[in-house]
Amino acid sequence: MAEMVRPEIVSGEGVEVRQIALLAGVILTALASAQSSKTFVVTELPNPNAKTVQIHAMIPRPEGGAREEAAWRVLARALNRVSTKTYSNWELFESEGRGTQPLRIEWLPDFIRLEIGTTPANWQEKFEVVISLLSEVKWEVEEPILQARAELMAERKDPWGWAMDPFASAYDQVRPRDVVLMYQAAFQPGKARVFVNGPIEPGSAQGLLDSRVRWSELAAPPRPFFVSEVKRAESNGSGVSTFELTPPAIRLSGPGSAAQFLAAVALGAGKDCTLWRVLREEKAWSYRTEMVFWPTKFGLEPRLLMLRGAREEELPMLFDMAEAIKGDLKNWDASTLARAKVMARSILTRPSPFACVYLHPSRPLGGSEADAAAWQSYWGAVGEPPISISRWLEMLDTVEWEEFQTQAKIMTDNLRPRMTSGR
Amino acid sequence: MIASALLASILLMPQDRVRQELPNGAVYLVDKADTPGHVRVALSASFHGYPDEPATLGVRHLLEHLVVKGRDRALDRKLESQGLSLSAWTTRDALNVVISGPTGALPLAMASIDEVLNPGGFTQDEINKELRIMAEEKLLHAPDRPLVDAAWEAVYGQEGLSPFGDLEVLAKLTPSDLELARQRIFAPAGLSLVVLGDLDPGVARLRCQEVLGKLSGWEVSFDPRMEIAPGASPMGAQASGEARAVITAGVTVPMTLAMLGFALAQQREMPGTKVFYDASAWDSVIIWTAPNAGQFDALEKLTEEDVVRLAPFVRGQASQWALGLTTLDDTNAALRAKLLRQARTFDLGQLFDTARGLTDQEIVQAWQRWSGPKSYRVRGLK
Repeated sequence: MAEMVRPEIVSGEGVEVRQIALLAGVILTALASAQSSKTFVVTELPNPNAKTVQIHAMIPRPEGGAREEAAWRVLARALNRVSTKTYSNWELFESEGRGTQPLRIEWLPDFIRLEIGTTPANWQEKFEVVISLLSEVKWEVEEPILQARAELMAERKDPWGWAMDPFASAYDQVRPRDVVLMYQAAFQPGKARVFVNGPIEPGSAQGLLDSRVRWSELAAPPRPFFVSEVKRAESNGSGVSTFELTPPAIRLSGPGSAAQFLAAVALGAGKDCTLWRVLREEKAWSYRTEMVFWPTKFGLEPRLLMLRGAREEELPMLFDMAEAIKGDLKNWDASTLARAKVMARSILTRPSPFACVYLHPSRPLGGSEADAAAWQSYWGAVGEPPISISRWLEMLDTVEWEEFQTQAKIMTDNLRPRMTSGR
Repeated sequence: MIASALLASILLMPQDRVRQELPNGAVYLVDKADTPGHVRVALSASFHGYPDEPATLGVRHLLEHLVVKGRDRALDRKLESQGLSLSAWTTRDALNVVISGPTGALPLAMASIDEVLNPGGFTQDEINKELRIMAEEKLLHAPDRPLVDAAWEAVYGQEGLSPFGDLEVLAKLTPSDLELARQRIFAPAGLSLVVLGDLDPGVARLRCQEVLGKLSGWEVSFDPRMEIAPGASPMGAQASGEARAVITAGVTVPMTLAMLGFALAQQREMPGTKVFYDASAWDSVIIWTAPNAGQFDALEKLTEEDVVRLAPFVRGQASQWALGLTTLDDTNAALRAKLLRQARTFDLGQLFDTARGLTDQEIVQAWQRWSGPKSYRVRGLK
């Protein structure tokens, strides 16, 4: 069942499409086997030069509405407080010290990610921690769920928090039983995918997983259980309104994806981008304008955001914002593309103040081995080739001006508008 | 003569690390680090050059907004075209500017620090436009910001006022007022500069001397902030919830880690609470905010046995926090620049071991500091 993906790409003209197609084939095969699998599918990404082994499990959220979304968030938070049949809570989250990353549980809009960064000597021991969380959480006591729910309800978002995540979740309507059912529905063989990235012996991860899971003790997946929809708030009362324009999601294997990624960077990353230069410096409409790549199951959505004090009659500003952005494209030239390439390298490979690829909800990628693994596991989980960041950068480097310009025009002609009032 | 004085002031250190105080009082550190192909330059201008007072509150912040545009107001374009990025922010302790990017662009990064320090004059139109942007910035403050600001004021009175500033005061500022303030804020005796990364220490040292050595100007007096004893009744703040604050004797002291670790560990049991600490080697405050009134009552209900049981979590949280400081990002580069002035021989790498070695007794004392009469209290008025 273990698959090894070695996305080696030879540079040269026309290579990108051919290689993506090849890799997509590998992934489609893997996905097909995952759908019918009776185990948690492991994807090994051998990386002999890595200093750590990164273990990331991606669990997709079951379909549903706002209530399921709320239960999903409570579940992600509650997992930080649980014990399993094998480990106490303290043992689950124990730190190994320098250069490693203790277990972290991340909520994403469409996934929960369990991630751990460990030493090559200890990886099997830590892999067992992940296996235990995937398969044998103790839900006999409700306290972790109640505490997690209380914690989420008590959190106060600042205006940027509202911009990133404009929906208030109906946590008060989430019952402990809903959360347990969500766990049982999502943490099932054939759904969760585990990515092991680092200097490991090929084939060893799947075998270890299969030998450790107590298959007979796994709960059967529950039937769909939520029926009523929860109404979402139309304003957040923070005093700051969010104006958002979002081009279509980018998928690695989609045509023009590299040019789209660079166009998004040119539109919104750094200070010499369109958003900052035009909306802030030229028009002084806003202090904070930013583009964030947001991880959805459809791919990375480049969300163009502007935060501005709430006013009466503010909807037209959304259209003014779109016009200002589109109008700036005529000022772009070859240097815009060159800057986008340099900026993309910066935001993907090191801690940058302009980092904007949010594969974690609260922090963008910053160049660590854990982040590089998060990149690959995210793409693998959404059915795309889990190519490395360095490979993606090579693809970005091949983008030519005409394609960049064409994709920028298509993206800005297809902006999905959204405004969340702060009044 | 000057050359020999310079040589004498260079501390004896490994070749990859050079630290020097220049005759004008500016200090710099060049440190070769394991960041292949990448460098980071951090400038810290201590608040002591221009302490915040009600009549001048926010001038440092406004200046930060303006100087980072550079002499031709196109500094970002120059930097980003070479893969460099600039970030800047103003705290109660310092005005910080950090530039990072590829090693090959280090000369441009250093020239840009020079531009930041000597940006030329600003027009009234430029000041007014920036104030409009700052008005938008003010709206973005987190809901618990008033609790944090009130806690600082409870501890330090007017010396703890928010560096964000008073926009009405700033609206009266003229270009010549701002220029005068710039000379004091960037007085060399208050500046520290750190250059870290994959670099040639000899070349980087010369660049530092070039940029900082030519500066001259005002004296800087490093008087500590004077704390006020905790009041009998809590300080009020225009927010909901409450806050507590404790004074720390600096990040170099184990008790600081114990108090931080205790608050971070106990956070799990107190939903929605947040801990704030701008690391410093000098006296400062750790602030803990809660969204609901009465949440801190839980601290008084703990027993010594409870705290001892919590001790492994406290050590774990404190050591994670200490590990975070060793990551080479912009915030930590600015911290290193600040520490260069405050505690020249201190090594942040020691903190992890200090945190892991916290004793149960130290952790119990930390709890007592948070729960006892030495802690400062803030009550939300909303």
